[in-house]
Amino acid sequence: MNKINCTELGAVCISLTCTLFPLFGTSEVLKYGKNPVLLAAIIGFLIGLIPIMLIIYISKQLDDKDIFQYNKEKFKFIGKIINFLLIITVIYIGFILSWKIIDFVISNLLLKTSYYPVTIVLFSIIAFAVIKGKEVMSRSTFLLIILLLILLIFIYIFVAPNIEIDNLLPFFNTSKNNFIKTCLYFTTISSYPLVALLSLKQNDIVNKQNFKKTILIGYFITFILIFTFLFLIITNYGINFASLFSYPEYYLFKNINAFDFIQRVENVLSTTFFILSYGSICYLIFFVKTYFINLFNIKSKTKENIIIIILAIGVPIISIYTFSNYYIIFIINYYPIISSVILVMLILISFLTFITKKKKHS
Amino acid sequence: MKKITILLIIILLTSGCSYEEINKLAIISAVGIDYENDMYHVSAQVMDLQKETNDTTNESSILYEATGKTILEALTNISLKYPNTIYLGHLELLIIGKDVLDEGIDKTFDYFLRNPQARTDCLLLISTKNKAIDIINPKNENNQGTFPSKDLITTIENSQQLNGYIVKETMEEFIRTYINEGIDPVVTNIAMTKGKDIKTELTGIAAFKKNKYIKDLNKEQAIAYNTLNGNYYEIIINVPYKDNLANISIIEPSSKIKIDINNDQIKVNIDVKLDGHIIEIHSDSNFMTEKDFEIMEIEAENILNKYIENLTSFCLENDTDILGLKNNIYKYHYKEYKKYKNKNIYEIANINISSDINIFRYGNIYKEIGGNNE
Repeated sequence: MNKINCTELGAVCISLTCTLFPLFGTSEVLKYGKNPVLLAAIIGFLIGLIPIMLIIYISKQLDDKDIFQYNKEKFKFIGKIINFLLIITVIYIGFILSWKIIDFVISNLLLKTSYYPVTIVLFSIIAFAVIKGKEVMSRSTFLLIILLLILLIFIYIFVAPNIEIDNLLPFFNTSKNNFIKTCLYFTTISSYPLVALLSLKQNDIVNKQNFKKTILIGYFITFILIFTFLFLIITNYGINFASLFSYPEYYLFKNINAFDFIQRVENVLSTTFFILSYGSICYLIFFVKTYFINLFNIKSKTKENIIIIILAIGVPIISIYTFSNYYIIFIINYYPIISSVILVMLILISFLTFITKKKKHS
Repeated sequence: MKKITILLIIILLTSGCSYEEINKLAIISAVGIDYENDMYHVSAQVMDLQKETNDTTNESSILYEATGKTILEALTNISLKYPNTIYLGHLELLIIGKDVLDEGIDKTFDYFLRNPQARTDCLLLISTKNKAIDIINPKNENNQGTFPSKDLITTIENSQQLNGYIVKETMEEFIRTYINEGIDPVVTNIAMTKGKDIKTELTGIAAFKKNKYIKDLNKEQAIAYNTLNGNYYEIIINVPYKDNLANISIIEPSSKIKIDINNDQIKVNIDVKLDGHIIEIHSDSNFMTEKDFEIMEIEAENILNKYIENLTSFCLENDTDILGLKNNIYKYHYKEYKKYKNKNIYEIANINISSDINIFRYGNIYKEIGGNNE
């Protein structure tokens, strides 16, 4: 029985919604949001409920088929275009995600190692999990998220003594435009990757009636985690210093010094980045794989595995090639705009579904 | 079994990433940075691992040095002269020489912040009179057979806790203050003093205006600065008592700076609270009464108020805001901040200082031993 339960689904939801924050989201929102970033987080996460409700609405239509089959069957040519645009955007997110995780390893941990061995080792594990199927992917993500939560408790306890509350002042020290930009940034970073869940058929989920509740709880946990991290970063370092860094969470881990002997644990704690990335990259690859299987009508398991390996190793290698030749910030700056294609597609699918249903009834 | 074998192979194959033998590393514990003829001169104090294996009783160090147009270039030029790879993961002390201060101290930190190996929580010192290399060079007569950086770190830690004349500031703390709005940084100054022997001595707290060195605080101002920032646990002050002196130990300072702005009138209230106890009395006094304690408290409070006044006058004269009054305005009166951003706040503000010292302990004896026995 290749089914996943709601707890595992919740863990996958946390992984997908959290993953972009430590790798580039936090540094971007701190840069623009300044001190009111905490308020922007609340507003951003609330706006993020719109795409999430759309995802939940669409997923209710996917009892025995995935999103690509559904779009193709229901909306014919338009469906194919929607599928294509969705896949391009998800590959783009995968591109950034894989580059940032590799870049983090090379620039902070394995300074003298080439990008390629790191990529192959990291992404072979992910490819292996995707080959094993959604049950293995989800269960391993669930176990890793439990480990993540234990590590986070450790981090919160030992970072808390360095909190200086007046670092949060002045409460509003950014322009209105930047504030709005930050709110929307939160929405795009936290909610859009969740589209990868549409590659699941509802029949593959145990207690599918709890799907909505699970997703919303997962999203709420993500909000708590991100909000707490932003609060700790600002109160520990002050906004001006915190916004200097590419990986503020990693720098926050450097601040841990418990009893004068638990210190320099930032590299150990950076496993949290990998834990978060694992589930999300698995599901993004699974999403793209599902598209190609539908597109080429692949039935053979071997061919399916070859597609997974090509995607899992190929996308990060191409991302290394691309990003090490071009100016990374240039592309990352366009993330909110490019990724918003997902929102447009979600609105379109929902609208078309609604119209089709209404026609059927009449 | 097959999976475990694959896992083991992966672990064995990946263990060599970024691997370096420890005896091929030059583990740097202190770096000195000087600037001369448009070139950075970087001196690095390195643990002498070979000597340590022969002589386990004393830690010793050797000095690597090189020059370059940037700090990184100077550090990489070290490899032209010495065989070992430099490693900044154990950096404990950074000393900035006098010439760098003229150039602007901020440029020095970029490399250390950017480099993931370097520690930014290392202690920071400046030398306004000497070159950094003179201070950390273990071949100096007064440093011989010792590990100068370790001695300096211990001296700084003890000195701040015991007399409050210096400040224990890390590179990261300095940068944080530097990039904060409306506050200027401070750092401890070090110099080679010439007497019978040449000695390395911490000379006091150096005040900055943004990245430019202004002047050193005197001892009273330094005590006031550390009191307002809660930087020590216990220090001693002398208080006049019955035509002679008493030593009062003041402990656990806590302070509050509150700023009110009304119709462009700035009112600053500085409130300091401390506990204290009597350490030594040089007076032929009898058993101490409540009144004696009260007198001593008032005297000690007056002295501390004078120290703080002295410090605010220093800030006024040198147009530096090391107390962060403007930072306070930035945080609590953000809309007014632009008005005062480029002004000398100490000229405009009406500053009220109030200290509250509670003396409640007097040691193991009730009275001075020369006192009347009646």
